[in-house]
Amino acid sequence: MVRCRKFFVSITAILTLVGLKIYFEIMYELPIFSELPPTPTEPPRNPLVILEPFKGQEDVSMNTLHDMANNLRRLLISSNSYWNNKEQNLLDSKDMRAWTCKTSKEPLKDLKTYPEPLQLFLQHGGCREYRLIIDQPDKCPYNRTFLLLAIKSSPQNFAQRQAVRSSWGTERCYGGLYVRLVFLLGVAPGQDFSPLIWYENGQSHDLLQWDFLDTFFNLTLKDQLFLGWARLRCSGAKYILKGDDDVFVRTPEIVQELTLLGGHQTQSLYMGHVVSSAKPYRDPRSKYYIPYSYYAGSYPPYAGGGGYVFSGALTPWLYLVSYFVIPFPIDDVYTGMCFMALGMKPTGHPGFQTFEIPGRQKYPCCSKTHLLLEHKKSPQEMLQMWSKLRDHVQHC
Amino acid sequence: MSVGRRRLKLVGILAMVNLFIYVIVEVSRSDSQDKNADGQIVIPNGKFWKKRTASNAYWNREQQKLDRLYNPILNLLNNATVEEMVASNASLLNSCDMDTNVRAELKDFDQLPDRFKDFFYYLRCKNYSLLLDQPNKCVDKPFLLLAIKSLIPQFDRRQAIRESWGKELKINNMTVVRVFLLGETPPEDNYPDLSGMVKFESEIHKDILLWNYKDSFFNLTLKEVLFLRWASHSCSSAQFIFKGDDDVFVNTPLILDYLKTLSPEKAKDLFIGDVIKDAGPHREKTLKYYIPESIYVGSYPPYAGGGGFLYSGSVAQRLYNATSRVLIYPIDDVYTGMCLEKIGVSPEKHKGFKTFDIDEKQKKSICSYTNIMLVHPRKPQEIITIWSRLQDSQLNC
Repeated sequence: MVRCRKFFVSITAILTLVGLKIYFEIMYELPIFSELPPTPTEPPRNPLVILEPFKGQEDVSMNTLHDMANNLRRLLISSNSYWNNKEQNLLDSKDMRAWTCKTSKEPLKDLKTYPEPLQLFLQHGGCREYRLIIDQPDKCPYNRTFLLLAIKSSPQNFAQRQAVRSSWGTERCYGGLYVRLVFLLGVAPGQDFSPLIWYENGQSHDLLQWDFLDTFFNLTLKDQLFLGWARLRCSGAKYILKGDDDVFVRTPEIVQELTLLGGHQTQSLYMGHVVSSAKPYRDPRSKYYIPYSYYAGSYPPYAGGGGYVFSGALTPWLYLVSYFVIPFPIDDVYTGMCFMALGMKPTGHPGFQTFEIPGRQKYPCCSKTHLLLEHKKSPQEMLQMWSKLRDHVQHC
Repeated sequence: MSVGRRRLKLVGILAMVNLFIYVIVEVSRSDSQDKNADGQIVIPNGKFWKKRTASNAYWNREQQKLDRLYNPILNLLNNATVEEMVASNASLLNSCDMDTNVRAELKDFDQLPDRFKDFFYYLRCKNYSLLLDQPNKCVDKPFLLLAIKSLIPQFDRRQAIRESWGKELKINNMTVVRVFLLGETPPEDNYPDLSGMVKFESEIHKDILLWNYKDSFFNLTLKEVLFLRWASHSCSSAQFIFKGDDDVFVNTPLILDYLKTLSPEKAKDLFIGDVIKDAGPHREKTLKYYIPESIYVGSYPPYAGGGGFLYSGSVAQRLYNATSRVLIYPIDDVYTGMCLEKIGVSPEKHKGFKTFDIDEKQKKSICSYTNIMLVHPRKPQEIITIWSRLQDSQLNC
């Protein structure tokens, strides 16, 4: 009898324990991890990589392409420099075949003398076939996006991104006009941030990440991959602001200024801080150093890469034309070249300050002519400026 | 007479002889000292003790008060023990209320930069609590604990350290563990809110210690005190501790080899680093390390540069006890030096600690790093490169 009771007690105890274990397992799964995004070891492959340049643009006639080629020819000065040579060959080929990274590469004689980052860029040959690790397929619902903010960031810049999205980059509606936000990322060389990145994206749903190395000379690549994404996922965006993650943008004012634009400007805007007739830096210590044997001549007019605005309608065209312009390591110059191929020049705007201008006076806060975009701001400065801006809006 | 008694007698005689010699030597020495040139005996004309006059500098003055509180003889005169005196002043010693007296006590308080004002208003507040803890970090009785000072937004520096010199290991009963020391970056100071992210980071890596004080340069001392508290409560089993910045490269294998060869006596009182002697406060206003005369006068005790230093768990325990007897000082490595002085341990300079970097020429060769324990500063990318090159089995130096 006693044995029997002991037996029942043990059975009950075991059953209770099992019950508790199951209960904890369920409770543990639900509240804690439901917020976290799944961290798949191998993210699903995205179809975006196999886009053909002419997809959706089948009606582009040969005449249009020849016009583009002629626009580009004006940029080229005949020289033996590598880039110029390759571009010339591309334009002279009779059937105007788009440039791909499989195009045969002639060896560059003095490649060894180039700085290491530039060597890497040239060795990769500017391939664009990188898969999208994190996508935002529903970024621009119902084609109602007025302004898409596309911010170049690097994986480790968590603080900058948080500052942008909680200040001027907040996705919201300004008087019926929707502003949407994406950050453009590659993969950090040598470091694995993927769990943090997935967590961040699970919270904010505004990251686009491709699996190329996020380095300075890969910014051109980032630009091209973004254009490919935008024409597919956000083709209805009226305007696109492309900028760095350390700029401060007065979004409400930019939106307002863009609504005032009229006529052809809405369809063909390319506006920012214009750099005209710049020449490549020939000092090997400069970050922007371009050797003479790589590129000869001056740069086309371009808008400083810190931040510029262009019409969303141009996206497919820019994407198309980028297959006919040999990749160039400096992204804003490359964008200038692409616009040149489209026969366009950037429009200057005094409100875009993407370069340091010594002695330039700050505009008073309530005047009409103040800066729309300023560069080199820390996350803290950004949030401070934003809270001030909100106070002034109420004030003025 | 037995042999035992004879020996005892001999020892007795020897002791007497020793005592005699000692008395003779002492008398002749005092004889020569206390006479002036004329051979007359000098009689002191004042009291032999000197009552210390209150210093003009605020920090020194407050420290004198603290010293008096911990002085057993003075307390005896008040019929109290040190413990009683400390207990009766406890509210004053650890008060976290804003200390408005400092405005009157500190000369030119209103002219001081804001960082000083914030610092002195809450000088005595130390009881901050952990928002993210790692209570099980030291269950394996680590041989070496790596404690790295970091800031919330510096995810990349932490990740680089995790993937390189800060890897946690367990080989042949020898464990190396790692914690990052963080304070808060509050939204009222316009910092972006990264709290969710840090919490997530802590969940996956289990190496974050976050206290609810505000992280700033002057609050690095608070970080030091809070870490020592954590180390003596939650990681008292650690044999050795390395504490350093998150922008340094550390040759952990070399440090482990060094620690293994130490004798037990040396190991107990170990404190090595890039020791700076005869330094004093900087008086240049634009410097990060600027301390005005109204705050501190005098020179600094020998201290090891805060980029990184290595000490024993026993020293950590004693240092923590000393933190209640040394008033918080705005510069963290100097503060550690002050605590070391209190416990009578002198920091030892080790040439392997390069807190002021190495020559540009040496930098290029990976072999320069094989006999360096620490070098400052290095970017995350550089840390990873140096580490992976040192791991290369083909490395031939």
